[in-house]
Amino acid sequence: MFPSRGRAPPRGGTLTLRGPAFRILLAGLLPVLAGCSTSRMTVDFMVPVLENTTEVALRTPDAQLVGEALPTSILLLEGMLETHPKQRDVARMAAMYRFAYAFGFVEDENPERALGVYDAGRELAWRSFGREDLERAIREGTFDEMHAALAEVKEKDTRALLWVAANWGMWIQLNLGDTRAVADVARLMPLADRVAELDETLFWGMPRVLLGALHAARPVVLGGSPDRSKAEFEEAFRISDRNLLIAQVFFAKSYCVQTFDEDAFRSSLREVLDAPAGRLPEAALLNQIARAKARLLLDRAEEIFE
Amino acid sequence: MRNLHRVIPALLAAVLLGSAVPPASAKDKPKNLLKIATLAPEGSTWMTLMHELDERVREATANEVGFKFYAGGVQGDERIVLRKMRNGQLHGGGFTGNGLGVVAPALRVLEVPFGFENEAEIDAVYAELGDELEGLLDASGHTLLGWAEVGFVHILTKRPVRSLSDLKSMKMWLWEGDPLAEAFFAEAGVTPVSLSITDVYTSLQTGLVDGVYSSPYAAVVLQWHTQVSAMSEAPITHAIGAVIVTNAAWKKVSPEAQAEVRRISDDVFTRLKTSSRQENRDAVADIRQAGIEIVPIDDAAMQVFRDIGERAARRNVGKLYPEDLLTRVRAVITETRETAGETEAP
Repeated sequence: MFPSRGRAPPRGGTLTLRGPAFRILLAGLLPVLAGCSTSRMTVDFMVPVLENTTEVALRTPDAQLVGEALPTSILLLEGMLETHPKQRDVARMAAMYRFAYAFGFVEDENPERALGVYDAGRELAWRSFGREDLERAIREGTFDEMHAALAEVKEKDTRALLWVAANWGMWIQLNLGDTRAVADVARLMPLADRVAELDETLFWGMPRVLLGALHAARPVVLGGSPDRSKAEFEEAFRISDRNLLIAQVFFAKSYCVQTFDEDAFRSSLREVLDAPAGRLPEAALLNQIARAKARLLLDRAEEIFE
Repeated sequence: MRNLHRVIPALLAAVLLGSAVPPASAKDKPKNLLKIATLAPEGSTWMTLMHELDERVREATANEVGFKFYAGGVQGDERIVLRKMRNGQLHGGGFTGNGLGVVAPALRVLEVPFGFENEAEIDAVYAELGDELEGLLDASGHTLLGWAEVGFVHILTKRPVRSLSDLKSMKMWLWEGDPLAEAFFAEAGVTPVSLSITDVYTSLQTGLVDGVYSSPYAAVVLQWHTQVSAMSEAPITHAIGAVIVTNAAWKKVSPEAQAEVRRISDDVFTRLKTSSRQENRDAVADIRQAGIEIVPIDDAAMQVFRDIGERAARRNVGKLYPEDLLTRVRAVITETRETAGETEAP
């Protein structure tokens, strides 16, 4: 059934690059192909511009401006994905924008709506990951299949998987009444561990912040680990030199609340509020969101530690 | 900063990532604030319903009574919470049979091995003997707010357990201070490893223990299911739970407000029971999906386990519960089974 070596290629009646049939077909298809690829190429060309826009947004200290712009940006990115469904960078940015929007501007007012935004963000991030086989194993496989899939994850995948983990973690935390969400913790934790293992410096240590929060999300009696949480946060503080202020906010509202440590809660949030403007200018937006959240949490300290 | 502050209103989210922060509210302090500790985390169905209880009670009693819930075990495990209740730091708590057994040991009669086979039998016992069981709590100085069962308890192990010899080959965990489980293992000839619940996950990881017992939902919440490969299809017992407050705190509440609290509690705890049962069913599906083998035990082996259970139950007569109470619980179960059998018969 295999052609023997040296046999001449078949001729006559077969489509070849020089054949008239090919030329006719090409002439007919060219406009269609060109139209399709032009839109996709446009999306591809836009990626560096979008990456720059993201950097500008992160540098912007005017959180309100960004908050108002995010919904439009999300719709624009998702519109681009309709045109070019396989553009994984656009999917990743959309996932990140959804996370930023829900975290910074929705969940404090409307947790139920945030749930939907995080859910969509997680799905976009999986799309950006682009490995449906591994995704299925991690989300729905047996634990053995999940661990085997995670072992196949490479460093290049972490940029997508960080946003899977971040959106997934928030979705779980807002949805603990659902057994499915509670069960997902067993899948999210190894995923977050793997991302941190491959690149803990992503987003100024965000994988460690995420792990710190996850380990303090449950009380000790329910399998949580304050010690591990603290160690993860300390690692996160080291990576950003304490300049990513959102880490201190997560530390206060997860570790300090879980361990009922009011002094650490207050001092951590005070550190955020007292931090001079201009710390980590590349993440000015996140730091500004951190300040707002720190203020709100500090206002509630008495009630939380009553 | 000021602008941003305006964007985000003063009412904070119910739950944020990794947060045990309760939902914010602009409530006035009620005349009687009952401080209740629980292991259930914020955001769980349990806590959602407790917050509902609080809101409805405040409204119905014109703020004479309200609750402050300490979720997620921040006040310590059950025995620490009981101590804090004794010295007045807390007024109540949500407990499993382990904690309830400390204040009213006879309640453990509801947890004898292989006592119940289905939910109808449990409901029948509460319907028939609920007032008497509540009286046991009252006699211990506690008022029942509502029963909050944990659910059917299964064995989760690193290798399948199909027989007594399989069980004997396991290093089984024993919840420290649990006389009922201790009696079961003693009768089975198993030498368990006594540990606090907080040490179980790590001990499963390190191999200090390779078998535990738990409701399916608790196993998922505690992540124990990530460390085992098998779960018994049949439950070994059914675990109780309840929210109680000290009589001292309860007596400060006016009779009218007490009636309102009871009326609202009845509704909330009934719904909690329904949710809890569904959560356990969902958890079995999750455990199965994770690739954990659900292990059936054949009739002969099951009879061996039942005999052990019976001996363990007898061992605690006079220690935990009186003979008479055990007999009456069993009579209700037998009657329920017979009625069900007659209904099912052609």
